[in-house]
Amino acid sequence: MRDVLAESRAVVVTAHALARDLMTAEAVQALRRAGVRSVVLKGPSIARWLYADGHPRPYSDTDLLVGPADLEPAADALRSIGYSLFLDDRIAPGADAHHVVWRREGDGAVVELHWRLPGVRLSPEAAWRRLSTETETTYLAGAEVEFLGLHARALHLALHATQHGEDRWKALEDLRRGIRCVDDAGWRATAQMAAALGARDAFAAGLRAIPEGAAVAAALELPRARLSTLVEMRAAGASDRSVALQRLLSQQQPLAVARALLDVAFPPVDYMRFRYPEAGKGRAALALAYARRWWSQGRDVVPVLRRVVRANTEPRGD
Amino acid sequence: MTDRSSSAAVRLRPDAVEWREVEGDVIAVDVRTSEYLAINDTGAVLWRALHGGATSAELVERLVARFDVEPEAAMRDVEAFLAGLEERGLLE
Repeated sequence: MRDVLAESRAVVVTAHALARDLMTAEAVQALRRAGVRSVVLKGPSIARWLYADGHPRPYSDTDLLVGPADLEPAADALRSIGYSLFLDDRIAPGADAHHVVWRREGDGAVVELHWRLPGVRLSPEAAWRRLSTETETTYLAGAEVEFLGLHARALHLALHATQHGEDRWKALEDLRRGIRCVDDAGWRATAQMAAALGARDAFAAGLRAIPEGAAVAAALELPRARLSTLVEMRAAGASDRSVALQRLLSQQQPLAVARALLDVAFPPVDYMRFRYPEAGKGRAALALAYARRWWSQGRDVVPVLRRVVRANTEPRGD
Repeated sequence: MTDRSSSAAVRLRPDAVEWREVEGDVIAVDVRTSEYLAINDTGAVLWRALHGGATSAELVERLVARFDVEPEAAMRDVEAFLAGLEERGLLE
């Protein structure tokens, strides 16, 4: 054996991921001491499952799914090991709110507490009950942890492919590998789970993010949905604002869309202070931040609308 | 002390180490000390076997089959490798 140095990018990426595993184990154990059950998402669960061929799979934070009722005790547990709140995306206007982000200053550790999976329409409480009945227990960096069960993991691969801009390549590669790894019966069971969770549309849209997934979606006879447009927009490099507007329109409930648009135009003060740090300096600074935001949004209105209209009216194949 | 007679299976302690394969090698971290280890391709053959549990005889067979070495040389390598792991407290 030898002590590792920076020998190659793959080694560095892997060593970094192993360091994250130590932090994940610590966080899971802290939550467990507080009586909070958690399920490790993404990161190590995907690396072990789909990257056993030695290709490095980078990850830089800890993703934990918890029951919605456990967010507060989980927050206390994370504070007890040095984490502080970075962002609760429930205050972010137009966001598909699903997690609370915690950071630790000393070592830069980040824990994302997920209380729902984006794309799942079942209530977060009911979804947690469903997802937490089929987990796999294993050791991670010395701690006993839970991963999602096989079909929930496969579902999450597809759901994850509908999100993200910068890290999208990772989600798509994960999905590609997952499609090779899960057999037809497994995908049928995954589709059943998606239906039970109210995630069929998002599941279908996520699968269609790549050609291999489109074949699986066709074999499962999954419907095309407006969410598929969302995925296609991301693939074509549409702006975050265009994607956010498309997501709003996908809700298909006029009142919800109107409320969400109001939130985008008039986000809560907490969010403004997070997004525009100078807004915390006083009322005048806050007012200025709102004005900046409206100016930026106003400039973008026409291109964003054009992009969304084009995405919804362009003919597309399947 | 771990029983390293050729008929007793030994395995890595699952609560002591986290590891990944990368580019044919194994990168591991001792979770108690946060010390990183890099195991080359020869050791990686043994490491993978020890993950599930293997006897010394089985480890020797793997090295002989993989690298076409004499059994005596393979046995010396296996004993040295296991001694290193035991010294670090990584074996059950």
